[in-house]
Amino acid sequence: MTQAFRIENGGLINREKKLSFKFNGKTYFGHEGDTLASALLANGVHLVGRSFKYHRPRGFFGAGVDEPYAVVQLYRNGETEPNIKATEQELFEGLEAKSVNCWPSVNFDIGAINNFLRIFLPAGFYYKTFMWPKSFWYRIYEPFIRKAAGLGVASTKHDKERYEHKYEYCDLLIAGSGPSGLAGAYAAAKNGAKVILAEDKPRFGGSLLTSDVNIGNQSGKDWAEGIIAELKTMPNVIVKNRSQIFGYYDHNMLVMSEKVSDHLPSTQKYHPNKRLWYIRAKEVLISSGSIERPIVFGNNDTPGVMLSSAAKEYLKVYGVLVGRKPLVFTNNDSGYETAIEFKKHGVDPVVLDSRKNPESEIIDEAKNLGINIKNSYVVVAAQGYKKVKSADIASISEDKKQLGKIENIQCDCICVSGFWTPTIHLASQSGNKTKFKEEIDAFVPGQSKQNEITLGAANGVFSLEETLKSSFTAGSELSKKITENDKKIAIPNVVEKKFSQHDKFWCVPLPKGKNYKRFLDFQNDVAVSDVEIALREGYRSIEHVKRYTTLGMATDQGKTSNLNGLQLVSEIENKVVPAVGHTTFRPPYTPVSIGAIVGREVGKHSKPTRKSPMHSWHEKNNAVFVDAGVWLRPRYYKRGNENLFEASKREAKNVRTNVGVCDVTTLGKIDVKGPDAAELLNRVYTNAWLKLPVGKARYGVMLREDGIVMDDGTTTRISENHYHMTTTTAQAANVLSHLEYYLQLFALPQNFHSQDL
Amino acid sequence: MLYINCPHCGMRSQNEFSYGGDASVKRPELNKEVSDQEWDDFVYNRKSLRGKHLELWQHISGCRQWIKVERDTATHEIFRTFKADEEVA
Repeated sequence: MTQAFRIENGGLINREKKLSFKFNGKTYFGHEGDTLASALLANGVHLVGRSFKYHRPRGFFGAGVDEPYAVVQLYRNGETEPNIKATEQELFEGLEAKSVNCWPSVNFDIGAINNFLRIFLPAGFYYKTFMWPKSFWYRIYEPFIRKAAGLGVASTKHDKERYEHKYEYCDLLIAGSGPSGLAGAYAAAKNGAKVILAEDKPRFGGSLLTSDVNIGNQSGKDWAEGIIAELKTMPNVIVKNRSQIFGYYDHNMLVMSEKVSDHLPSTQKYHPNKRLWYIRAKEVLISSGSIERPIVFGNNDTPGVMLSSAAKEYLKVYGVLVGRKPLVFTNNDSGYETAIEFKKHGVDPVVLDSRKNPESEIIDEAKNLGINIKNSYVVVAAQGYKKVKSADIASISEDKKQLGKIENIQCDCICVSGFWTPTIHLASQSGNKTKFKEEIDAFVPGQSKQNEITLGAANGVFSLEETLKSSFTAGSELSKKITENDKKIAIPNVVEKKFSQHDKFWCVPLPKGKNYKRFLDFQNDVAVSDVEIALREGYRSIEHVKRYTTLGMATDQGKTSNLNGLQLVSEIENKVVPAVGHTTFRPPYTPVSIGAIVGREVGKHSKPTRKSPMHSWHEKNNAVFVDAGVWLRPRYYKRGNENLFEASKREAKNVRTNVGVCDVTTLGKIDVKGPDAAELLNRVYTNAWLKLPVGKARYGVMLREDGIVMDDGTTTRISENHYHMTTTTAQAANVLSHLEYYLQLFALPQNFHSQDL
Repeated sequence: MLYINCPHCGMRSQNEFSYGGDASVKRPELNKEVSDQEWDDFVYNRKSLRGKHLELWQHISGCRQWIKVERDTATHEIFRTFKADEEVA
């Protein structure tokens, strides 16, 4: 099959190297440097899955971590992994992936009947419908829900991949390699600070890869490449791509998941699949950028509707057209950038701008290119089932309440831009009290709690010049405090386009007599009507609304849906957004493999295996072993077809009539020495030890302070002030801590020494 | 993960330590007559404080010393740390 939607030139992919892959059993081709998403789009494939609840056809919405729909089941080197975002998975030769949440196939999905039953499946239907009769829950309802719910399927086989953990310390940790991250890293590195720069994507540069800007007389992309190349040569800098910092924990500990091998057909020998980094940073610069947010309209989940920034990224990074008849629906200038990119590649877009009379440099550029622009116009609904075929559009009144006459125009994709939402997850996880910034209709970090600073788009600053200035300065200042170097760096001159004010408009009203689904949360099928129901039923707290409707839950954690949800709640409640507040941001920012969290401590390596010196004798005599803490102890010595009971009878009889040997090597042994040794034993055991003759042993019961038995065992008096204590196998470590507690905290016996043998 | 300043070893991560309870509790004098109430308070009764709290930790994977840590239970901020035999003012 040909890559019909790949443009002739352009993009950052390696056109020399062609890769074949399979999706739902069909073979396609892409290039090195593609993601699974970009390669599918190059082949004109938009239908990738079915939605969670209504099984509606779903395509691609984003181009990265924000993707709410395009999760697939991935097959790699004989293993399978569920819930992989196609927009993040890099293409490799022989990749295989399948759609999830559909049966028997993504094209014909029986579950889609839910789409017609949706009137019976509103928010909270689980709580209402499956209540009676009570006996039905375990036998009928729960198994049914379990079968219908969920996305991918986890493998039940042992995972052959290896995962590593790594601890690292640094002066400055930087999350994100966009303009802000690069500037901060560069300034701090020049001051000699130990810097770690982390980027979740394979390519460094963030927004510089797709924006039309100039830094220091170079294109933004070339400038980024230069900085990265220089940073890589510096011994005090660690530069990591494919590495997501997903959690900000106490005392400036951040955790990062590095995908070492996921982009390769199989993991190289001695390499891990993923590496989990625990990083203790003196200072943290959060430069995580922003995510475009959608405008809500009818059937806005139809495949072919996507973020305008994603359409631009597919074109500029991957050389892929997401459509040939694009409709751009925007409330700000970003949509025009996408439209201009289309036009440059010979595709004529139509731009619908909800604003009445916007003016800016970039709009003029679009006009000069002859792009068809309709002001005060909105998309009312997308039409088409498995792919956008056309759009119902209408003019809108200034108060955004009245729609004009509805027209239908042909289009094959709708690129939507509802302005930008700063990615504040890490700042919020660190304990930062976020604040609402009126000019951008979004939350930004407020007062720092730990040693963290957020800059650039993540801080709601969308001017490149301002971002670079603040980030160079922050990198210098933060590192100066630590290294005491103060190397001045000239801030390069910047050429960028000034943007005009966006429109505070986020949701298109329903036309009379129409009942289109208008989705807020695409991953969980939460529509405007669901949130309205939750509020009508009395849910007020945003945390309750979230849980009742599932808005903002699951693997995308509401990256594209949170703010629109808040806008809706604030509108219905007649409050301002900051009064509604936002739900708590919790780690992880993106899903993390369980394997990466567990690391090397699996199977035999989950704990040490301790064997007694007699172990080989036990083995020779056919011992059946039992785990006792970390020790292997013989349970019984099996002869012939004996079972446990028969062997025990035989062994007991032998001990009673002859003699038995018990291997107690596994017991804990603690040497207690010093003039007050007997006094210490008196304090922890119920028995008295002073009168025990040298050379004799005595059994003792050890109590905690509250009188509960904590251990027992025999102790031998070796000489006047020298005792040898044994503990039970499992409690050895606790008993040692218990003795140290008495010794160090109560300063009881003065001359005392204990040692774990 | 907390970052604890062991008075013997310096800054170490929480996973080298094990928690040992309230350090502000005083053990009744050994040779004194102790009422049931006093003993009950010593072994069982604890306040679940929100805010500054003096607690015991043992540097179990390090120097094995018991130490006292002054920590905010709500924010996890650590203010000061002490050796086992140091009096906390």
